Amino acid sequence: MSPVLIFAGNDYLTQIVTRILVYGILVLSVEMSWGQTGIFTFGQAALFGVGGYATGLIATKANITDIFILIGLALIIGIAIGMLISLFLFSGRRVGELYVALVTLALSYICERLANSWTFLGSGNGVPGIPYPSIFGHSLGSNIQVFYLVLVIFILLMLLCFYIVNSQFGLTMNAVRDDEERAEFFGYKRPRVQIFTFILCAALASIAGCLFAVSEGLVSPSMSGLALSTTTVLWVVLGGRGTLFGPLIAMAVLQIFNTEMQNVLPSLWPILIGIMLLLTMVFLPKGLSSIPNIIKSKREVKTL
Amino acid sequence: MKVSLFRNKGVGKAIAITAALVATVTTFSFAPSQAATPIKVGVLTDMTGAFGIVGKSNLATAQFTINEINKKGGVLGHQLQLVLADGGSDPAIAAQAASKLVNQSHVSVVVGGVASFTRVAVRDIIATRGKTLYIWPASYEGNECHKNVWNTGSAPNQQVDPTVKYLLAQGKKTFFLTGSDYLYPRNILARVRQDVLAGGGSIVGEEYVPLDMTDPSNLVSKVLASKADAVFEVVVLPGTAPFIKGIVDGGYTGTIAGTLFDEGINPLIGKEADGLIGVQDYYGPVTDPFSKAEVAKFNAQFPKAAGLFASTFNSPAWYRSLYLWKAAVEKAGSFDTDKVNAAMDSIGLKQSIGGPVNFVPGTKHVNLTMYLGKSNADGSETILKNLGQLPPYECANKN
Amino acid sequence: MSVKRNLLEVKNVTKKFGSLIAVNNASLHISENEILGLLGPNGSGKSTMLHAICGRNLPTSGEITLFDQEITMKNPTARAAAGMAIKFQLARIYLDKTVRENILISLQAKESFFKQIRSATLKKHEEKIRELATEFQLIDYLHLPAKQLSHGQQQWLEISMAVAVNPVLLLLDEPTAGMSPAERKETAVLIKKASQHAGILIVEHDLDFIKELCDRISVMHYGEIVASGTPQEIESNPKVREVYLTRV
Ligand SMILES: Nc1ncnc2c1ncn2[C@@H]1O[C@H](COP(=O)(O)OP(=O)(O)OP(=O)(O)O)[C@@H](O)[C@H]1O
Ligand SMILES: [Mg+2]
Repeated sequence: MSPVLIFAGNDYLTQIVTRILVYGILVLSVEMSWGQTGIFTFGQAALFGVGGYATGLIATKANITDIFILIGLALIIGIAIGMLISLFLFSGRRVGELYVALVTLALSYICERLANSWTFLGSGNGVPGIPYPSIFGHSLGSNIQVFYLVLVIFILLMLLCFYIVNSQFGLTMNAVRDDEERAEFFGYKRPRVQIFTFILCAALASIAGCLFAVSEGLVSPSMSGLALSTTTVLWVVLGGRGTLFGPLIAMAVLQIFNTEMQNVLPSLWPILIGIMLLLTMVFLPKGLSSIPNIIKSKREVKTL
Repeated sequence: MKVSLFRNKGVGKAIAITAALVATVTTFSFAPSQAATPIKVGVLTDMTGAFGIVGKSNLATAQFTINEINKKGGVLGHQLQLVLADGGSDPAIAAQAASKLVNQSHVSVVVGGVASFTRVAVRDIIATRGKTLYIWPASYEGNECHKNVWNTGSAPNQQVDPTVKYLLAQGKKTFFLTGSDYLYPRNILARVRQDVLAGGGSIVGEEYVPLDMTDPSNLVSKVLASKADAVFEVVVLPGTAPFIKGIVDGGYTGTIAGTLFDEGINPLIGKEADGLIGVQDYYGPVTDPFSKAEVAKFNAQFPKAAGLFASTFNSPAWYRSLYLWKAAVEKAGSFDTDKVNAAMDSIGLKQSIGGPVNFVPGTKHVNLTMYLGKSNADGSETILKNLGQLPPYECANKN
Repeated sequence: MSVKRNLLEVKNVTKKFGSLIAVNNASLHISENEILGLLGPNGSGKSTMLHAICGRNLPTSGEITLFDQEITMKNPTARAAAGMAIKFQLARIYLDKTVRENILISLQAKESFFKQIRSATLKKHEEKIRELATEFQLIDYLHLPAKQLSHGQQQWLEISMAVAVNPVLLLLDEPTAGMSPAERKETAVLIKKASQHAGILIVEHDLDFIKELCDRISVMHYGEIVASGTPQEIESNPKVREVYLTRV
């Protein structure tokens, strides 16, 4: 079944699915840092915005549309900022989760403010009119082609994350997450694990930002702001920290409902999400994806 | 024992999840496209967020105008169907909403946007990628010359030039310019600066404040200290009222002018609105019989939006946008974007709310009847002068 | 018998927690392959001493050297890199991870990230894991999360994680707490075996257990080392008897 048939020429639907895949890369970055390594980051949207703005500015001001160059440049900037932040946060003595959360939260705040007030970044207007990207000189001319591009990159990055999480390094990330001090006594270079992971996630977020820019044709201050940063954490909470796929599914489901519910219950919907979040945290601390396990263990108890 | 890289799951699962992600989304069914009879008109405005009040006014105006057109037989025999999209006072939300109008509802034309950030956010989605006609019905900062975009609000010169001319004629020599820090205020004030300097005045201060500024005390003291004869301000909501209250209550005795004063905004400022100077394409006291009758009808048909028909809410521009588009479609004899686009270039209306209006070929903007107004303490306006039709200095006619 | 090199040297270490002096001007030393027992009543400062050695707490004053290298202020990672391994008083293992993963966490700790991402050393470690698990009687539980193990098994797991990397200095804080006498015996054998490659510092309450195992014993009381010597000397030391009789 080809997506072309499914979308049946509905460009809007194509865009929604493309956006879900882009957010998929973003939520992977939060899952890799917070879910897998315990770096409680509220700054992924900032790095998402950095990638998006870098792409938007380069594409519109320098007329560069080659997707590899755009991704490459977004990556360099994203990695540079990720490196600065993570060196600042992690190279010294251990800092608390809350400290990390506050610093990254501040990062999001600063980025949104900058995007809102710096004329070079378009001030409140953002950067509109970002052209479709091109590959090997061949220009992509429609949303469906951009969808394919995003799909391929999403799959590659998801497989990469999957590979890393299931490698020995995945175990290292978890060891730091579950007890970073203990990991140090085993000889883990805890700061390096955190810095490496943070940079990896900065790279993921900035690629996502780049793809967002070329697929939506627009970047605006809210893409780097507190609201999106919080939302990414919410996806991970709902989907289940440390489950890799849980957050992806939670994000996709919420996005689908989002577009529909915003029309049906514009004022009630955010409250419903809030309630859902609270209920999840109280009753399912491991997220919605732990439901199958809970059912399974209930059954096992019964058969005993 | 199995020695495996993948401690728990298989790669297959990863692929299955991707497939599931794509499939879940795509199975969401959407209503099949309807028979061709009604023509869909996309109405894009901010029903939620900071500009919610403007959205309420815009929707009522659009509904009023479309009802009227439909009652008179529609366009080329087709009834119009209003499709609303909420821009949420945020460019990202507006972009999604616009995409939905164009790519899912397949509207024939999109009218709308409140703030300029919405226009720039949706312009390419509608006009370039969507190949659909887009009408931007707002007085704004200028420079919008995109192929499929048509501007029906006033251009900076139409508002700013006569305002500054009036101030200079009143003997004002020193000017303090201030606005919120984004494109619209910066471009408007650039025009003000140009006009003031050309007219022999001088600028004694220019300050920009964050968009969401609510505590203007710092700015107020700078303005008071400058002792400028006139203040030209483009501080947008929510900062407008505190700023003006601040300088008036602080004892400022010069003249305050701006682009955003009329019956829509004045009540938010309060009694300090007394004496504010501006130029708009419509004020309550506009007395030509056509405008009077139409606005009265509007107030009767939409009692909830009564009083929200105002120039700063773009109401007259919304009204003429739909009629200009109707005229262009009829001239083209088709709803085809390219044909309507060609017809738009020189289309005009003999009468509209505020006065006659016509596109000046090559400019993508309209010849507009403008009024110099002065606000009163009760929020109402007094028209100091009917300035007649003013040409837009935009696009092919830039200066 | 060859002359044994001095492995660990703790000189005049003091550790204060606010006004509380947990360790007071204490000194001790361990030679290669030597097992030193640290004895003392509750709250006498034994764990605090261990923590100063492994870098969990930095001493207020004093000096610690490993192989003549000063490490007093070094971070835990550096000490682990120098060959130190520890088992804490309350087993500090990864409860949500399986036995196999726990041991792997210890084995791969010092390897480069790029090797880890490629899982390059997995095969090699897999063998070592089985070997250790067999030794510590955990082979049947390799794929069980550590939280499902019994208390004694959790202690064993942590000891196995500590010895897995062939440390030169092994710090064991009450390794047999909560074990049955039979289990203690087996633990003693395993510790003895580990001492073939390492100097060991072992904290215990049980004098009988420790005198069998240790080459030398130091006794702590109110943060001070009140006696040091062979098990026989310690057993007959009147000061030690006093400490123990009044305390236990
Ligand atoms: N982090 C700390 N902060 C404050 N006081 C502490 C801290 N750690 C230990 N202490 C105190 O230092 C003293 C020595 O404690 P320590 O744990 O070293 O004793 P111990 O000999 O290991 O006792 P036990 O046999 O009960 O394990 C105790 O009084 C304890 O309360
Ligand atoms: Mg202790």
